Amino acid sequence: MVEKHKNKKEIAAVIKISSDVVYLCIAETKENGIKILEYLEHPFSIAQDAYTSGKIGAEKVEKVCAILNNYRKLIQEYGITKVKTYATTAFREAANASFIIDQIKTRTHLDTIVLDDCEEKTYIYKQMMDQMEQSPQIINSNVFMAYIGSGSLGIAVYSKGNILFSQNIRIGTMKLLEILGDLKNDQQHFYTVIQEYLSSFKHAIRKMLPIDHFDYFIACGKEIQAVAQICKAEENDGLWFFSKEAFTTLSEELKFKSPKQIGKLFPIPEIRTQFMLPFMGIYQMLLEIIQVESIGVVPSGLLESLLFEMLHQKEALKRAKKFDAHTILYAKNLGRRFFYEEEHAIKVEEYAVAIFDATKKIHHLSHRHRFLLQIAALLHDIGKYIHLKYHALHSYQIIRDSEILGLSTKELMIVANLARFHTHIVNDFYQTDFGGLTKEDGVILSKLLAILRIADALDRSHEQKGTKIEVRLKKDTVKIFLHTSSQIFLEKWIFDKKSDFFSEVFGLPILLKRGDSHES
Amino acid sequence: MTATNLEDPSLYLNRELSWLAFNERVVDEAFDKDNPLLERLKFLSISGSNLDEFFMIRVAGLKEQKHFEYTGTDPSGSTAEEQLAMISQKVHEMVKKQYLCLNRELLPKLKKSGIEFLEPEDLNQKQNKQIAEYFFTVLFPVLTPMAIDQSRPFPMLPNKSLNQAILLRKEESHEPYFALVQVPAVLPRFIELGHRGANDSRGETRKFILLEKIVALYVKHLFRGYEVLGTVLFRITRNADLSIDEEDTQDLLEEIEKSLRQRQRGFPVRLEIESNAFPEIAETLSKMLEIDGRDIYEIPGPIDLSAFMKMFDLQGFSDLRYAPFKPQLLPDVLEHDNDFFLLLKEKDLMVHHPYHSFHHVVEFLEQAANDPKVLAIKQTLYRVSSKSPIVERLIQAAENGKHVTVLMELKARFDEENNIQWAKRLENAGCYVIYGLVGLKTHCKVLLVVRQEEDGIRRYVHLSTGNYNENTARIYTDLGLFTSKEAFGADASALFNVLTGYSEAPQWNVFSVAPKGLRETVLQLIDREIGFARAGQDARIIFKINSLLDKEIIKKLYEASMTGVRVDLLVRGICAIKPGVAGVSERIRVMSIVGRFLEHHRIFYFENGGNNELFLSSSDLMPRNLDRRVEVFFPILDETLKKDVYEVLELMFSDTIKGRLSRSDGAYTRIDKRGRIPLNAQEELCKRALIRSSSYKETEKEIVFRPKVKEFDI
Repeated sequence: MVEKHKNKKEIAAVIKISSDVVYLCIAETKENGIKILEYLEHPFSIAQDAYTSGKIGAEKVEKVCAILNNYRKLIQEYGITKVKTYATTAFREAANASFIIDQIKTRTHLDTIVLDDCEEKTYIYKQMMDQMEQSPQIINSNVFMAYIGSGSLGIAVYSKGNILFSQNIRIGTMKLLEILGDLKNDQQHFYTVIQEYLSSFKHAIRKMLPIDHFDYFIACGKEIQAVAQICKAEENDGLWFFSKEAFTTLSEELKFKSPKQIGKLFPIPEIRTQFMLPFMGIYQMLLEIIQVESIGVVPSGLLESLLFEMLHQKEALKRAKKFDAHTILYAKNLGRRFFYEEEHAIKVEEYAVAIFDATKKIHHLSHRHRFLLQIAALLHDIGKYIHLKYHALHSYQIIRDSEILGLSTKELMIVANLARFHTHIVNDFYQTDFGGLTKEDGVILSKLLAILRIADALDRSHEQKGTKIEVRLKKDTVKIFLHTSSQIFLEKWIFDKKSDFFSEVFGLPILLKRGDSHES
Repeated sequence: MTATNLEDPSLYLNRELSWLAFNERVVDEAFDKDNPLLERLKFLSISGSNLDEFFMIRVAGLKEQKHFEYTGTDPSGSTAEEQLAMISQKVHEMVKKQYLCLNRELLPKLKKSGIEFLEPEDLNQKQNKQIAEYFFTVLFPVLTPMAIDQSRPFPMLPNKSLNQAILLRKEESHEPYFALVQVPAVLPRFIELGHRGANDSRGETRKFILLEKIVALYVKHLFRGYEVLGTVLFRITRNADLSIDEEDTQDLLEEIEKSLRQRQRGFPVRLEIESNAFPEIAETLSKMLEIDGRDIYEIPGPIDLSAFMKMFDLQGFSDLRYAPFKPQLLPDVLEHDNDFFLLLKEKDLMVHHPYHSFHHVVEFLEQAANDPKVLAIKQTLYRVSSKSPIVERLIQAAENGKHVTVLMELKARFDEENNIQWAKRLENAGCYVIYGLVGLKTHCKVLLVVRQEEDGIRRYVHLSTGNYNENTARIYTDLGLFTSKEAFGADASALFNVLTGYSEAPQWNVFSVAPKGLRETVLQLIDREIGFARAGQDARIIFKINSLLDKEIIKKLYEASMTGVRVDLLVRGICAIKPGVAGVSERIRVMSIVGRFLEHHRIFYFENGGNNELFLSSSDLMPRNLDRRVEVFFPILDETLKKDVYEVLELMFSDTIKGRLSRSDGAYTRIDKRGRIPLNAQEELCKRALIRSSSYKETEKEIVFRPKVKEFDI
């Protein structure tokens, strides 16, 4: 029998169902990091289904379950209980994903979590930044970060400890292959076509970037790791570096090669060799924008990031908190791009957080919800950039169509809807479709909205009259004391108009008092 | 240099002729007066069973090529037809040599030493009485005469069976009849005369008569009413290469069982017939079996030399064999009280069979099977013995709750039946048994133990050049590496994930794995030496392998030689490279050792500009290893072990007694002993193993053991 140890190191397993490969990664804790014990990849192509017909075929379920059951055997060998299964791009695109997930659950007892594009990138950026910040030089530099997924290209700008910008562009390797279709059979010209197609993105990307000078180009992903190895990369502070020249030479060498020939050169799964040319093309395009001499590669990625979070929960929380700061900063940068009124935004954030913290007993929301409230408070008026009239709707649209680093698609929708209803609650609010949110999310949205509206009212004059607020939760009321030396007639008037919704949501009246002294 | 066309067929030796040259070296050992008499007989018998397999596989393959009118040529430029002609000529010469050895050398000497084979006419009355009794009580009931005529199909005689063809005449009729009777394979070939108990043999001569002679003598009793005009002993060899359509196969296990039954019935490729046979019988057989003159071999003595292996097992006569060598236990292991986990945490361990005992491997597995911290054991099995202690330990481990995964290669030629039995037993014990990848034989020898230790998972790996077979480990020379180095553990884990079909091949840390990457690695390593040679540095390559046939690698070795790399090859068997060709291979030396033990390890040495590197592998340099098998090629990283292995190589190349040098034409010559110390490397290695373990008294208990030798495992 296998002896159980008290101080046994923790082992966890992560399965990832991507568009063309199912991965299994098993790792154990090792000091502050993780040690990979097993790494498996099994080809499994569902991308074609998902992209073209929008559905994953039933016969694919059987195949993926066979792979997953094999993986489970290996997981059992280690006696692992911490197992998580994620699905990415293809499941996001497939209309029948929820049925497929249910069938997988029935046949393998595995719960599949679908990661959206933003979550995936968040995990990757976390991993990349962890690694980058090991190097004192990089931490003080301007870095262009890139990650190519099958569906999209993620780029981000890191400058001296902060992420200033990030964007997902829909030119992933598989997407590109799909767009270019039959052209891929023209071995002589395929790469040229890719390059020409991609060059149209150059200008747009250049314009998006908040800075033009970069010290580093740092990438992440299995393919770029393989490229780094072929280009004889050298290790430095845990990152692999190789010259841009080596990259260009390699892409010249590959450009007339068939996937099969490429497969002989690259230690990557056969099924992925067809993506190598689009992949090289995308990086080549980025390297033309970003003038650097060498390319750095983070030799780990999504799987490692997920495993780290499972194996180092405390550390992961710290890491998440740190990343939240990036998100806040990111939101502020977004605000600045649309000339938002920063003092008002920060004041509303302050009030909203104060109300949220004091009313935990009646809302039971999580820390993450508080965080969403913060972002919404910062961005609620961003739409004024377009027009004052209907500015809430403009805010909603801007937020919805932006990507906010660190927020999942669902979270982004909550934030956008908070902005949308911060001025008016429409009559049929409860029947509104909040952009695909569930009823449960609708309730969360309402609670956060009730708080946001109060917080916004407290600085209606946009003059930051209040020095601070005090919130007292009583059995039958919520009382807010706005400490200020100014008059608050306007605030009170608006407050009274907006407090109805709060009372409706929480079943308690909310009252505002001027609190320049400690009256009760 | 570029002027030389390395595609030129004249730069390559034909593989079949090269193999026959190898078998000739085995026959030479039977002639060697310095070998003990029964050992000489054993070499002769091995040369016979080697030839059997050669016909069943190689000749059958060429005949198939010819049958399907394949007109391509081999790298040496010969068509199938040309090769068959050359083989026939060569084998006819070889047969003559074999029987010259048997009749002129071995049988007379055996008689002098107290082992005698009698002819019916030599028998005295008592002996005659004995065989008559034997015939009527034992033989008669199992003999099945078969009449032969044009009206019915020729009976399907089993592969390698001995048969008597009998020419009959009905009394008072003139018309001859033709009949067959199979010499029963279930009975001993050698019937001992006047001797029953095995223990009262001291000093006495032991006398035998061959079973077929008894059959011939009394055959008339099978055909009452007929007159026996003559009998002729013959044996046919059939195509026995399994070919299974794996792609369409649901259950490989079932499919192989089926195909084994078919092996009995492949088309005939050779007819061996006793010399001076009745021409009428010989002609009929040839016609009926559709075998033409070239494939008929007249045998001047007992047909099927492999049968003499039984004589080797005769009790007593120990002065006629090599003094037994006990595989030694390693002091390192004993000092650690057989705790491999403890030992391997400190350092790597190398076992060199048969000088070191295979018992260590069994013991390692035993420890793993019973260790509470072991989670999983994974192993590849290619040829296992019929009472495999390895399999027993795996079953034990499964019963102890370990996750046991066994890759059982059912396609290991001629061992299929045995392997199927084991596969079933392992499955019943709860092991997860897999049968390998479609289209690929799993030939690598890997054992992985996954252990949950206080500071995390640790993996222990044993990698070998030879099979997990305790019997062959006493005859085949092999190297096995035990290590707990992380890179090896990770690669071994990943390899099993590939073999189970769970995963695609990953990027390996230290392994190179055929069919994807092993050849490339070897080519790259040779290229690196070429680079050093170009830069004017010393460059050297040493390979010790069983066969060298891969054209790409041979070409690269030629290139190396042309650039200035010294290439030393120790190839036991087939070697298609031509050493010493002016302008092409002057720096290439090819040596071969055929000795008491079967040279089996695959070692690869590269000078690497002074940072020499050593690798071991399960693979030979043949296309079938590199393209159609899963093989592992791995480095030895431990400096001490590297030195040890290098010393072994040096020693083998200094062998003046058993070593033979290949000439450019593929013929082998003895080493010029002048000015050199006489050295038999295998004997020297035995001595060294004894010295090494002499610090420890406990050596393995000697087990008298006579395995069935499979020389063809190359």
